[in-house]
Amino acid sequence: MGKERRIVSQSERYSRWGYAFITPWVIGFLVFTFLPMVFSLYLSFTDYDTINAPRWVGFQNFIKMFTKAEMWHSLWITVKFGVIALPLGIITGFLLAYLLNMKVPAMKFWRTIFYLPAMISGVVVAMLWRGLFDDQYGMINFVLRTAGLRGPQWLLDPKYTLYCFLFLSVWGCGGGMVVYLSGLQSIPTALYEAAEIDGCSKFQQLTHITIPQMTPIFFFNLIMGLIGTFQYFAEPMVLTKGGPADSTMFYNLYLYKNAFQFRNMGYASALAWFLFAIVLLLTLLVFKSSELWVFYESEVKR
Amino acid sequence: MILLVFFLVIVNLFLWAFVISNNVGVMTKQRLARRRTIVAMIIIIAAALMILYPVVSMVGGSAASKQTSRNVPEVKPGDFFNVIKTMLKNLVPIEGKRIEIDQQYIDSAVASRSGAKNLRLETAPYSVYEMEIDGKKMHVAKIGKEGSQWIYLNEDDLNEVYLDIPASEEQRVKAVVFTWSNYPDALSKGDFGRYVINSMILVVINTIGALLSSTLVAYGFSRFKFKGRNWLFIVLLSTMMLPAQVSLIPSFIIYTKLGWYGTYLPLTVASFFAASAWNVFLMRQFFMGLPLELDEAAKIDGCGPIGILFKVIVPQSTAVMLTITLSTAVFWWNDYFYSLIYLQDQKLYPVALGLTSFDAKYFNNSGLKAAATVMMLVPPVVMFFFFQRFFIQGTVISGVKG
Repeated sequence: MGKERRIVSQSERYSRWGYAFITPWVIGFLVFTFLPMVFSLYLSFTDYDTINAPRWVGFQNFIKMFTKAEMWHSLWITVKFGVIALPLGIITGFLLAYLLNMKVPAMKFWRTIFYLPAMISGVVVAMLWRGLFDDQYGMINFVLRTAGLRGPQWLLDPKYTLYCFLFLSVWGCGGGMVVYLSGLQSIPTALYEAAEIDGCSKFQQLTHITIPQMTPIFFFNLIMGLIGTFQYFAEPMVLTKGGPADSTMFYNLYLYKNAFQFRNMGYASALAWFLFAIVLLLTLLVFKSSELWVFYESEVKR
Repeated sequence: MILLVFFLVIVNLFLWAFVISNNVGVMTKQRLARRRTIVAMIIIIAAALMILYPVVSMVGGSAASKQTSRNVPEVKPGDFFNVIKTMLKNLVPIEGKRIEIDQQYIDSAVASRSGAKNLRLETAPYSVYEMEIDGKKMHVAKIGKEGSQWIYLNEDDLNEVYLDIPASEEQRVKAVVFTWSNYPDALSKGDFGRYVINSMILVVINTIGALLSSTLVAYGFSRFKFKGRNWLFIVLLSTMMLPAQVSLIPSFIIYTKLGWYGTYLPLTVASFFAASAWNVFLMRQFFMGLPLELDEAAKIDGCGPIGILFKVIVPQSTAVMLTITLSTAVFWWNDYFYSLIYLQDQKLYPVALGLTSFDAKYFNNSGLKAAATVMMLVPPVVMFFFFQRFFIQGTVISGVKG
């Protein structure tokens, strides 16, 4: 009896230690995430310019947001960019990983090179490419001229600015590549050996073993990529500042401009909450649809 | 368009090696494998070149002097050899050649023109031109002007003095000139040195904060059972998916009201409260993998929970600690968004933000700007090169198992 009580009290003491250790995160979560979120929700129903006190305006910020062409425009640009850039990045990254996985010499060296764009700041990326996009002296147009084409004014013509950012994102696909590479290496070789015996070609092995085994990783990268697209900021800020003619006004940039340049804190909070809703919806959607195409080994065992 | 072409080429090569070749019965397996490796290598090298080109050309640009204009010549369609030549040329700074000349030669040249009026001397280093003098082509250095004519010295024999018509810019002798002084200049002239120090401060404080807080929190989540643990951990994980903008604006307002706007506090304080769920997750996964027996042994030896953490867990966790240190350091070295929002005084700017203001300030000196860019680019790349394993571990654990 006495012994039992001692055990209970010890586990209780231990649970107290547990709470003590996670306190920093609990405080951090409440102070830096949860309360600001609540405050932000309140702000989204007010008109606030940081100088005068917030003024309650009801749903006006949301009405303004959904009736304004600007918001839909920036949302459209972000979605368009994400829909093209993400699959392109995933395919290119996976292709590179697949090739690197073929026992090529000096893999570490190549891996460093491919991962380089993911290591450097968006500001540096923008700096690196700005000169190359120049319509007169830039290398890209120089190559195009040699091919007999007239290159556009990449960063000045609203029709072409988005292509520049697509270019940048494909250039930076190596970040995902590293993950795919280790994913590829973790696929059991027994599967390939069995397929070889059954007379599967390399291509059949790719479509029937490699890609199904990799889908959870693609799926995770897709979600993170979707969220990442809505946070895209440094490159457009440095390269184009959202211009010309708002053709690169990505959602995050639009939010930033409203909050910190025009000081429409209430409107910007509404934008942030709409963004939150979109990200949540997308994440749920991807999770739901994942049942259709994500392969988990455990499902087969069952 | 080009992207599409580039993509099609790659896909075609891929198909050639991996799909079509399977139907060719004549080929032996080894030949097939070799063919695949060759194609793989070709694509990998092409991709690597594409990735490296902007970086290397920036490094080349960082050694160019202010005067260099990196002109791209007009080309005829189809002249692809010229493209390759120009692309390679763009990687190294090619400028008009300049040489230093001993004062004694200058003096003797001046002495030989002692009667001349309007004699004006150039300052060193002297530009070299290719001129045709007395029917011979030779390289001569311009050392001064005499009226409407220029005074040249023969580069090969500095005792020969010539007086001739002004040479045109096209006659400049080209040479590879590295202006490495751009680097110290960027550090001293443009406040860039200060930006680097500022970034270091941010990196160090945030890394300490992230390490301390995530160790404690991960320890709490991995080694103790308490009510609501799993539920709290799910909350923690879901903050990973949360877009930062939702809490950004109120945080900004609160920090401003506290008088923290324009200081490093908004950029650093959150780190001490395990702001990065990713770090905690990574650390917890690692702690879960550590054997419990050592904990038990330490407990029997009379270690309390804190003792176990620092005597048993931490010494075993250097790998994950290094991963978190590196990723936090690189994040704060590269940070642009938060410093843009919270900092106002240029003296406090970290490198990323500093680079953009540097860029605006020295817009006409591309060499200096390139040097600054390279300095910002190099530290993360070098770190990655040396600590590859740890970086990849971090990315992979969250990417594969997440």
